[in-house]
Amino acid sequence: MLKPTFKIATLVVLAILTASCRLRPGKPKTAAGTDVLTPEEIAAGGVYTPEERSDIGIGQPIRDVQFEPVRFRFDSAKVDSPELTKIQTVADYLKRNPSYTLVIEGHCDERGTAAYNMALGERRAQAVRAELIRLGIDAARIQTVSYGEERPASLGHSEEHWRLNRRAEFVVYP
Amino acid sequence: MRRFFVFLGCLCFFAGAVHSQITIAKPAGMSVDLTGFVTPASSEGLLFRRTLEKNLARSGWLHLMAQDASYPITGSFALPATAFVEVRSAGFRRSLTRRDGDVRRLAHETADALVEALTGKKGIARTQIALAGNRTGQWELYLCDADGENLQQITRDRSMALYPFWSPDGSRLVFTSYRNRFPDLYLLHIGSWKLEPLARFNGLNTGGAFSPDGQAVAVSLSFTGNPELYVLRPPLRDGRLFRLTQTPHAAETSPSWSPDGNRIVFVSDSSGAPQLYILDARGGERSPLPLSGTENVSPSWGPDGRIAFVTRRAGVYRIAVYSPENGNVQVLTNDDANYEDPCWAPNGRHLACTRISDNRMTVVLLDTLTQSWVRLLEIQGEWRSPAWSPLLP
Repeated sequence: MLKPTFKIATLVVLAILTASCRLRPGKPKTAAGTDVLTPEEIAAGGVYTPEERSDIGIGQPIRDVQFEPVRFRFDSAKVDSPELTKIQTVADYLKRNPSYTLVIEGHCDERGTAAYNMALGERRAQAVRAELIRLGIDAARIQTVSYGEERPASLGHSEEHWRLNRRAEFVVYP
Repeated sequence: MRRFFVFLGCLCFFAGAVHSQITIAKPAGMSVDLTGFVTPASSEGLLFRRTLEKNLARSGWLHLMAQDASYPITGSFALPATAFVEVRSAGFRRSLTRRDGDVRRLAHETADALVEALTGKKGIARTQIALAGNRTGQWELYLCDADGENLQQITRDRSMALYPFWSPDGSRLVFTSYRNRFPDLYLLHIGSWKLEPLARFNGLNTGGAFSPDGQAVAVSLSFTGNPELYVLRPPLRDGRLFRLTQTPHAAETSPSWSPDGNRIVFVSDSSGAPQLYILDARGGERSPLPLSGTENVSPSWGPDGRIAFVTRRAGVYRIAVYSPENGNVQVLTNDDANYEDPCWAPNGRHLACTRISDNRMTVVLLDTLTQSWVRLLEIQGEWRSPAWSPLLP
């Protein structure tokens, strides 16, 4: 389980703030300007109307650029420090190509149930997204998609395959 | 009558005992004999008889015998679709007709009428099961009768469609599909097959579960950057969301409503491992279910208040049932296979679930009383994530 260190807390606050910017005006005012409703607010009938997904990730991706997938430990969505340079490379590329957009695909190994892995893959993609935002990439340029355990990179049933399957992949769109 | 009480005693024994292994139980309960029931040797007659026999057996309450049965059934089937059944030893007689000429459905109604007359229990012959299958190379949704017949493909998303869930009136399914590249929630109207987007926000949109009154849908969404539980209230299409959880470091998924619609059981990994929690459907504090096991996931709150779920024991995912009134947990599977996605039949006795053995998935129907299971389909391809319909008209 993630230890809520200061750094991660900062990332999460950033992610939440960014997310709340995507909410339409008109949602009820909530504590500290975040998008978090308290149980009292829910009971009082607090309503969200988040915007529907943007059209990032639809159409043909740019195929002549490939980035190293970010690897994860078993059942973890934490970006380990050796993986950070891979994310820095993507951030640099996006800064050089300011019109490009990005989809981060989160994947899991086959262990655990498929429904749980769907959420874990999303958390992996979101962890990488938060890191890119921290590196200065506009949140509106990034979408995430979790494939859970449904699209393994390596078809096998041992750790050598599993470690390749626990990953976040980058797909760039013009 | 005495026989019936002996039978009830057997049931109580089955229900109370914690079995240490799967037993293909001896046919428990009552036997019926159909040799005195007359069907013409036409294709419709054979279809009626085959369907009736299969559904009586799959009810779990009755088994077929060729002689010495407790209940000899007499009567006949006549074209286009009329059945007359009589069980003299039970003082039961009934005539059933389907004006639409649907022989298969007539057999389902006949089976349920017999089950109800002889046992006092609701049958499951008039139900269907929605599930995902990959025989086209992609996961698409399919629909079949609860006896595994009458299979039809109902999505052609050519991407990945998973986790169907029935509306309580049987008119719609909510499911997760990648048809627009990302995992979004859709409503599919049964019969017209009209497709309606329900939730397509940034990130993950999944876990759709109708409330028992059919007015709301509990969902797991990650548009804030992390999967949390929400309830979509009517009108569903406007994306009005009520947020139920707020855990920036954990994911909340797999909601399932209590039969009275007041509470929701769900999975959260906020403790470091996925476990089951319950909260009020109008929001508030969560409370953990008191379960052992390193992982407990995929809850399904049944019509009689029991919660079926998947528990990890000795490295294997097994089906278990939790009874809230006394806190008992009964583990129902004990073989080498992994099980996922249990879903109650409306009779509160049977479960449909995904069974994974030798890395292949199939859907089985598990009888919680006898702890035996049968494959739903004997059709090529892999099958998973079943959803058992309510009783259909």
